[in-house]
Amino acid sequence: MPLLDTIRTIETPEGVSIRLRLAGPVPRALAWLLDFFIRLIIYLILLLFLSQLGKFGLGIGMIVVFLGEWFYPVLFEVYAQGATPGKKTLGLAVLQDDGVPVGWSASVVRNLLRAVDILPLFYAFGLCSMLLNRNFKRLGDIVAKTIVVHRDKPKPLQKLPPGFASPLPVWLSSSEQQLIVAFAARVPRLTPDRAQELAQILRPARHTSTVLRADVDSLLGYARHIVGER
Amino acid sequence: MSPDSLTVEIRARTHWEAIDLGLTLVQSYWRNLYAAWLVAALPVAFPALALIYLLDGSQYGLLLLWWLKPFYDRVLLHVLSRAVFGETVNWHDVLRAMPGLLRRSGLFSALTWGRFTPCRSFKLPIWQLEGVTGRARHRRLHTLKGNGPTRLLIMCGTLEWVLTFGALGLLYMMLPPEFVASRPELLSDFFSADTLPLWFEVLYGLIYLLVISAIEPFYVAAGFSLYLNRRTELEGWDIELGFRTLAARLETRQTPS
Repeated sequence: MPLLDTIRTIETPEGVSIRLRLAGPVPRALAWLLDFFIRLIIYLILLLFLSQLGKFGLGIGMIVVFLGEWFYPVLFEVYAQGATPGKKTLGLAVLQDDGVPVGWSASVVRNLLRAVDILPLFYAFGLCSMLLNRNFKRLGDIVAKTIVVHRDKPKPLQKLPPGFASPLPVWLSSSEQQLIVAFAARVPRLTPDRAQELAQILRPARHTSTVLRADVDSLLGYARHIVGER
Repeated sequence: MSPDSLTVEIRARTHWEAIDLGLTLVQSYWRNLYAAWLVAALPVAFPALALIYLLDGSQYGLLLLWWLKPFYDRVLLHVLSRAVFGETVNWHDVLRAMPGLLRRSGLFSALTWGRFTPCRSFKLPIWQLEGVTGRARHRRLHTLKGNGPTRLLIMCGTLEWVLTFGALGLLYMMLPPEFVASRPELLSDFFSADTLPLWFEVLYGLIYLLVISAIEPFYVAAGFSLYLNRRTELEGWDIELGFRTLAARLETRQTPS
């Protein structure tokens, strides 16, 4: 059985696999709330001005609210890399199931179906659907074949603690080099004992000529060399 | 607890991703979790609903259902903490483990002065699985805690309200309009419990029971997942697994085949 994760891997026709990190109900509900308040504030400001115009203003106001409610998410999803301001704040984005950016038809469908997700009150159907669906889809996502993913990476690479840089004595693949750098960036937050314990894992079982020196300082040295310090 | 026997992918996650992983855990282990849920919640649910009925629609039944959440949480975490290591726990095992869970997981403090803590499900693994007590436990919580757990509680509380209002909304949609019109108190007096009919109070208790059945396992799993994520970060579990693979790779490269 594969290990449990919220990642869905998609194989493109070019043979590249893309890892999409699905977003669940909690961040999505927060993003929706943010968007809701943004729209509310815009409507209130607009109505403040339009109310000067009497019935005509009210009519214009209702048209604006109608367009805002239905097209605010669509426009942002199509023209702002799949993210409304709320989603952007939470680091989320809407994509199609195959990882392609959402187009007009998918976005219009998923947002029109909010009319179903919002039933009976406060998106209860949408929430039930997300809780039951393996890809955390609300009903609109299921019909439009879209997913919502996390775009934020966990943390940017921290600056390595200063010191010497030394070249790697053995060949390492790029992901293995990234691992050494990830370790080095994490060292300040690990306890010294734990850092040493982790470094020891790389100690070889038998003595050979070219191996990694398995102690914290040497690994930090390799990491600095990998990121380009000399 | 060591990371290599986990059935969960260990990697550095943002705390939103960790919360989402909680939902994946519930979806994957729902059979075990809900078997345990029945064992824990049914013995509370019957007296609670009976209380609402017998005391003529009093809120004490709802309070009882809510107050005992730390108890259900412990049972759920017991199942979940074993499930993530590939061990299935059925309801027999839950019953057998119950005395230990009642005595050794800080349940008393959780039900009294600790009932209003904002990071209940995040604290729980430290209380229940690490077996530390007193000052050491306090320090441990301080080391691990960020501000994710409190947000999780607020959001899960919100999701409970969404489902509660959703269920009530559905109920009103299904009731014949003449019936609702003949009983305007159902809509107007929702928050003043005295005038609501008894059947509605009992039904509301039932709805609340269903709502916490839907959200509480997720709340516990997401808290547990946040806890695992924090330990991964502070103890470098992801690095450990990567280094093991790398060490094994270097080893085989050097032995001529």
